[in-house]
Amino acid sequence: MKQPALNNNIHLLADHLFRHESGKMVAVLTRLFGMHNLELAEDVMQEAFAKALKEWTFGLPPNPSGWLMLTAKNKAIDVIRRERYSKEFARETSMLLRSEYTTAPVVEKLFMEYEIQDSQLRMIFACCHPALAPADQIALTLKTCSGFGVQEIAAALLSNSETIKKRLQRAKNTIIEKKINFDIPLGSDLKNRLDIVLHTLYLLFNEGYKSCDKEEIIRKDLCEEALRLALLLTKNNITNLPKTNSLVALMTLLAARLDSRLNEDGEIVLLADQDRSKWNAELMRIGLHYLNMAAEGEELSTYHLEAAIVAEHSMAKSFQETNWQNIVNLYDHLAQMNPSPTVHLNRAVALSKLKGNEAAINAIKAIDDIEKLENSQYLFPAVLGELYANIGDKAKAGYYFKIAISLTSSAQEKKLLGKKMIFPEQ
Amino acid sequence: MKQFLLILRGGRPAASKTEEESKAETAAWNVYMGSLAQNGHMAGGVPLVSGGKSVSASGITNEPVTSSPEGIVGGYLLINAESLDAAAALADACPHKNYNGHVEVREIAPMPAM
Repeated sequence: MKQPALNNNIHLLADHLFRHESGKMVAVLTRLFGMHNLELAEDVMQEAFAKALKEWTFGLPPNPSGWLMLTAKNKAIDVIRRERYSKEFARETSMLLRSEYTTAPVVEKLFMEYEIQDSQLRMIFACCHPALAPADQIALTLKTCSGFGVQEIAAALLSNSETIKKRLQRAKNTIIEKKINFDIPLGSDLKNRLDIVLHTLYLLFNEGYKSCDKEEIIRKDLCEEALRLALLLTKNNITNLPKTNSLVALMTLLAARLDSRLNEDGEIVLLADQDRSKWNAELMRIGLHYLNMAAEGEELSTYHLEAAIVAEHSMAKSFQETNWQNIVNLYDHLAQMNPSPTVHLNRAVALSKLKGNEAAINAIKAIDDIEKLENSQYLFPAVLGELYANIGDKAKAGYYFKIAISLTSSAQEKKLLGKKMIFPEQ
Repeated sequence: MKQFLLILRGGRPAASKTEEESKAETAAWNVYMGSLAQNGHMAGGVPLVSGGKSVSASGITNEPVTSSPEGIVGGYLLINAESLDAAAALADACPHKNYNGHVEVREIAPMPAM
């Protein structure tokens, strides 16, 4: 008897589990087979899901994720028995997998909860390996660690399937050519490699965060995934460093505001106008907790400072009660560590609240290459337009808003800027 | 590098071991296998189930060969070693001998090309 409703539920459940379990499964399988056999690991994971879809129509197992893991484990043992003399598996296990005496114990051990987490961590490091191009790192991380499909990755990164497919293929070729290992770097290597991982996760988070389209739930998933992977890094002693905690704090504090960034019509709501009661108090509490954890030790990273700035906003009861002096001080510090035009621009915005609009305009005009930035990156003319509007210079405000509108592809941003042109005094 | 077959005979039947003895034996085997693998000696191996049949011109019997005083074959390991002596030294480290077992060390004969 066909049960369409049940069937549909099973597909939904499988989709949900796929997102949550496939990363784990591929990580463990890759630990067994070796990073050079990543595709084999993906095949085995897919087979386990295919089996689930077939068998679950007759009734769900009591523990679906456990069932999937067990199925993947048994399929892995099948593959090892079939290929143990013809394939090189992971260096760490290959020889033990050649003997039937040791195959099952080795596989059992790697499927233990603690080892699963360790394997996931290795996978994050492998996907963010410096031999891979940054764009390829992000695509591979989403595919391999987060279980995103090619189309989902394309949607999340505002790209197309063909480009993503190419990036993934290029990444897989590089893994084999450069013999990328599946391990957690130790000693002096750790710092650099972890820096790249954190940077990639922050990029991933930002891809989701800066998105303006309310419909695209996928972009919110990006934020969640970046946070989930960063949290994984805090669960291992080797990678649980102050910098890791500061990035988790930064992401969590930003995520707390995610729901108040857009209004019912999907338009951007500026920080000044956001309904602070909509900020997620639980996430803010967690974020501040991680910021405290990040304060241990000597290292002060840009994530520390960025998180401290967001925390300062989070703690202010209203926009008017924000401690702008603290925020400008933090931006001064940040600008020393990362003297990028964007940091200077953000500092100028904070400065406008502390010292007034003219001071902010002067600060922006002092940024290196400002003439070029004004005409190429929409945030610069948008902010300048706003500041000129605030001092009643309608001509200059209109001039900059027009440039800004021509530079953004986001419909929401165009709308917001358009409104300002009509009511520049606001 | 040559290959050698370690034929494992005898050993204590699982039923006669206490849980602790079993655990200790498994641990000893894990250490041994781990060191074989780590040093590049491991090339393969399988355990055998205890029952079997024997086939000869006089017919088929319903049990494996039991005439050897060292006991029936319970499994084999395939190892890489420089020489028969080196292989014997590796076999000597095998925990099997401490559990009433016997290890026969035989070099794999490469068949000449026809």
